[in-house]
Amino acid sequence: MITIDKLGFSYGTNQVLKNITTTFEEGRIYGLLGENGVGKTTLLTLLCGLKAPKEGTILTDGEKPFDRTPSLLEKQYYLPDDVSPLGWKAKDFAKMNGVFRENYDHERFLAIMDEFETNPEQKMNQMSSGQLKKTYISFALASGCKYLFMDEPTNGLDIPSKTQFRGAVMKHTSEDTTIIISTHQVRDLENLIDPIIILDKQDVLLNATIEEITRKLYFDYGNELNPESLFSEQLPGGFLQVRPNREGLESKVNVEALFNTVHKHKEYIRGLFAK
Amino acid sequence: MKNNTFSISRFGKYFVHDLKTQVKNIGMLWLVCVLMPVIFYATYMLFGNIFSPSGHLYFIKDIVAGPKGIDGPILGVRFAVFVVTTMVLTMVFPSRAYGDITKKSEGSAWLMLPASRLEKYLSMMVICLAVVPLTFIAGHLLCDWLVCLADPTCGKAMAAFNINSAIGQPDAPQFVANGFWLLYAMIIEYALTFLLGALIFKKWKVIFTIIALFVLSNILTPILAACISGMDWNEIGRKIENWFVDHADRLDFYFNACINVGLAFWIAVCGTWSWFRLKNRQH
Repeated sequence: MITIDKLGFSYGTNQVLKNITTTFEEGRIYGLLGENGVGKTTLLTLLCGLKAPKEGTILTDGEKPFDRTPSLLEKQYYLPDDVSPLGWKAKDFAKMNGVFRENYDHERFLAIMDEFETNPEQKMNQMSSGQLKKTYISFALASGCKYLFMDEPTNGLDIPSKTQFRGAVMKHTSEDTTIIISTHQVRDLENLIDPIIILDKQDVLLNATIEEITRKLYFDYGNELNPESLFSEQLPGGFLQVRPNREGLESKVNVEALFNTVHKHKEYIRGLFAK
Repeated sequence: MKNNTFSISRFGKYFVHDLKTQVKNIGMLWLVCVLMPVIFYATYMLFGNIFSPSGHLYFIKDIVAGPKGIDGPILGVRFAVFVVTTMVLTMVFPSRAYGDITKKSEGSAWLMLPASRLEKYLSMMVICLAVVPLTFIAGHLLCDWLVCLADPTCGKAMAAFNINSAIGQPDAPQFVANGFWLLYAMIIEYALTFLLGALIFKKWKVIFTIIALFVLSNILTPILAACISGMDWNEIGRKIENWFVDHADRLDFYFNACINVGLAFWIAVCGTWSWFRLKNRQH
């Protein structure tokens, strides 16, 4: 489990994260959402130990990530948005890096590459950006790491690859794997991420499971506007509205609408989910 | 419970990974530097045989017919080539091998490799200060020996050169390891300096390191000049002379000690600085 307590980070005088307290439980796929510049990538790099917190603490299974101990590094893999086109064949890259991880499964790597329709014999510096991203994703999923941190993993992927990505994540991760995905492409990951974390400037606006969200908010695809709606968007033939779920109705979360609702009613949502 | 500071098996895995990576990064540069005696000899003989001693251009048929009697490059020339090649290699290879650590993407991947900071640092030092210089020296001297074997007009091979016999005076200080240590110490100092530059500067690593050394020497020279300007040089000269007379039987020991203390000091400064650059690296 990852525990964050009163975390603060700044670039010089520019405070990015302030007094953040939250936890990441095992076996969940967290979606880390937020506007540009709120510190999603910064939070991910802090979580995996690439940066040292300026204030507060982060503990992953009781260890500070910035200590970068081999025992913790073995358990985690960070997939940055911008990946390096190395001069290795994809399969050689995976083998070379896989030796450091006890649970790395090369057959699984080849299987995921096959699902992504990417040639493992190809040199990485001769791949397109999408193929390169898929190679790194394949390695991340085959690494058997307990914690996977992914920064915009679907950037650069074509439409079929986005579907394959969701399938691969569901198929090739174990029950105790915690995945934290930072993304702007919420629609790409709508059926994958649970819980959802929405970051605001220097704060966590929401950290809730889909079940909690649907228990407290109702996503209404109706023809009439409800006076209680917190957010509404006109769709062909009706409206998409988000309103408090007083009647205990069941609905399907629309992450984009949720994001807009949270941003429009920050204090209300905080209060609603604090209960 | 795993040892998070140093484990032989993990270090072994990491060292092999590092070696493979460096073969990709600097393999070609290393190969060209090792083969430089052959490349230089071929170029020297080609251009030497294009022109006649009177400056006229030979015809192709004359060149094909065989050498026109010029001798191969002598030891001094080949030694100069060796020094220049060594300088270029030691200035360039550290930044090509480890310069990417300062880049966000490559540096992040390197930091996230499951090995301890100590293991990564040790591997870097072993490769920069032992593997690359020693294999380069061995390979270069071997190529030079092969050139001398193929063309005896080149004279003695560099490997057979003996600095102590070259000095030729029986009472002159004897250099350790027949001068090899001097050469190796120089390579280590250069490699470590340029490795530190590669870890400090984000781009133009070699140029900025040279500029930094130039600036440093320009700062230190006036300070040193100010310190010694008020000294009585006649008195100091006399003291030095007396010291030499008093220690004449152990001059070689003091001479080699000076070299080794200087080397140890430089390794300590650059090595410690490099360690902290790696330890506190953030992306």
